[in-house]
Amino acid sequence: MEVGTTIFTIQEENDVSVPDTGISEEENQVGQSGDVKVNPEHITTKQHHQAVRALATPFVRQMAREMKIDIEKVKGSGPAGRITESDLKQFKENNSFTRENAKQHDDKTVQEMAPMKDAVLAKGLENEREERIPLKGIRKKIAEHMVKSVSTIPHVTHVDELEMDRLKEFKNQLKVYSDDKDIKLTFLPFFIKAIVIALKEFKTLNASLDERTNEIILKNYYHIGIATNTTEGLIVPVIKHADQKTIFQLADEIRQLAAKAREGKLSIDQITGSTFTISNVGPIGGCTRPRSLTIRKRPY
Amino acid sequence: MMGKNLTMLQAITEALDQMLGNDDRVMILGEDIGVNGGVFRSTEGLYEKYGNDRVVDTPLAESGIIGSAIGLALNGMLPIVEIQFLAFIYPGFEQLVSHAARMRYRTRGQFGVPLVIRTPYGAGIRGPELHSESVETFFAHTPGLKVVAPSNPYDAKGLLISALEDPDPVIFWNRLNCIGLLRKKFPTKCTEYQSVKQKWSRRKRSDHFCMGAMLREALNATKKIEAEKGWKCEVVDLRTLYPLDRDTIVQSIKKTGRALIVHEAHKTAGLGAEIISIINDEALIYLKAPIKRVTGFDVPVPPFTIEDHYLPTVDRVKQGIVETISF
Repeated sequence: MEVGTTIFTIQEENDVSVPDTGISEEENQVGQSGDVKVNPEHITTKQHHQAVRALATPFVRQMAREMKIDIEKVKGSGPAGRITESDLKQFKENNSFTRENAKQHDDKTVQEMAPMKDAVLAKGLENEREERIPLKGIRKKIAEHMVKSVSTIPHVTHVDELEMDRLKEFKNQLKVYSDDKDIKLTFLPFFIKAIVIALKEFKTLNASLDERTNEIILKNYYHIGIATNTTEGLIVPVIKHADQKTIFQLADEIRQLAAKAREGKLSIDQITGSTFTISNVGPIGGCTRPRSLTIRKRPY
Repeated sequence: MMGKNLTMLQAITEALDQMLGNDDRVMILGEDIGVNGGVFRSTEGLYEKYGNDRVVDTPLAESGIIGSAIGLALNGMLPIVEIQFLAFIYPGFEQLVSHAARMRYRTRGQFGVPLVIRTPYGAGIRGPELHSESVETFFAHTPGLKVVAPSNPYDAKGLLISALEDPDPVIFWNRLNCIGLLRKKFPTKCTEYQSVKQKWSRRKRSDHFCMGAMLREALNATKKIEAEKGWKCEVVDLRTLYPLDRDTIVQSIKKTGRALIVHEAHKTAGLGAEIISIINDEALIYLKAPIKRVTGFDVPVPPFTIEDHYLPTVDRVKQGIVETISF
């Protein structure tokens, strides 16, 4: 027998063997976007291997021990994402309510479920009071994107109100013509027009950042993304060269793109390349919402 | 005699005078210490007072001076040796390390070497290369030697007397530019030696550990920091480099969670590394920031025209405090 050969493996009865998925992380992500079916058990084991130790000074670690906080669950706000004393206090405050409520349930769960693997635990809870929807496909991409956007791009919000009476009047005047052409005229095309005019004047708002070369790219073309709600989540179809289109052309294109978005029939070309995005919460109500900016791997 | 002001130099002379007067076994040996009164005048008047049997001018031969002193000590005398500058000790290093330091061990406790070596050290007096060194680590690293480095006249007198009372060899350092500068009020008799604790305590954000003349830089830096930013620091003057006052170091860390170590010796394997080690062993979980060192550089102390660039300055110490506290 050669040196290094495995002679035998000892396995205890309640050991769950960890099958090697043979799927690299990259492949795994592709799989989750819908094509390949991935066994949820494999994903669970994967998470164990990805554990990264939280950044904290010895003093803060000791403090966490004394406060009975699992430091790995705390999000750090210090330099380089380090966990600070105030992060621990904040974490404790935020969790005291939930902890009280969950305590009884937790104690029971811990006792009963401790020897079981995560996958089994998840199944047990499923029947009790929770429903589990796998985070995958578009929804997963959106989630990842939003987290990355919010955590890497400084966001600025400004809110203003607009007197719309004359625009309403103008829209009503145009209604005769739009009805003729069988186009449903909304305010959105007007906003697109207004924004394009503004963008031409304030070029830095129609721009993106090339982090590789440290250059700001000012764009002389105007592709306007229109945030659209679908059952899969928020999709942003793009109207290319909005500055070269008429109000009616815009209105028509919005309708077509929105319909395709709801049917899930948009091509990649139709959802990429926007230089500026409009979110219209008018139909839902409310006057403002926080928004997140788009990250681009490559400047368009 | 209570409450008079003495410079460090005067304090040392006074201590030597008292010791020579109190005990016939005490002798002083060194280059130019007799007729001349010492290159820094620290033995002025002693030759006249006690004669050439007690205050002995030696040839320029450090190995011979220390070797003779070891023989005297083994035969019942209490020699106090002056080595004119610390780094001139190297010819006598072999005597010190191979014999003085291990005599008690080698003779299984039958003989000790009650020897004191008094030597000025450090840069800043515009001396050429060897005159300016600060190599305490050599001695603190050697089992059997004790090393003390007072920062003011009061400690100097106390530690010198305590050094002589110690039954084993003690290296007594005085920082060159401390000799004539600092004045301190103190009573005439003081003999504290080990763990003499002296603190500047207020509400603390950070600690300093420093020795000898670096205390001045540390205190000035903390004053400035407090004035500019309102941060208060505790400054610990270590005084004895071997043995180190572990309790004071650890207690101080428990209070503040941060530390900055200031010494003028080279950084690599300097005493600062040992202090960090102690903190690591005994107070790691109290640390809120990495421990910083503001020290000399890993080069021979440069000639006097640029030696100020070698020494830790108030600005460098200040910068260190800022980095430690704002970590």
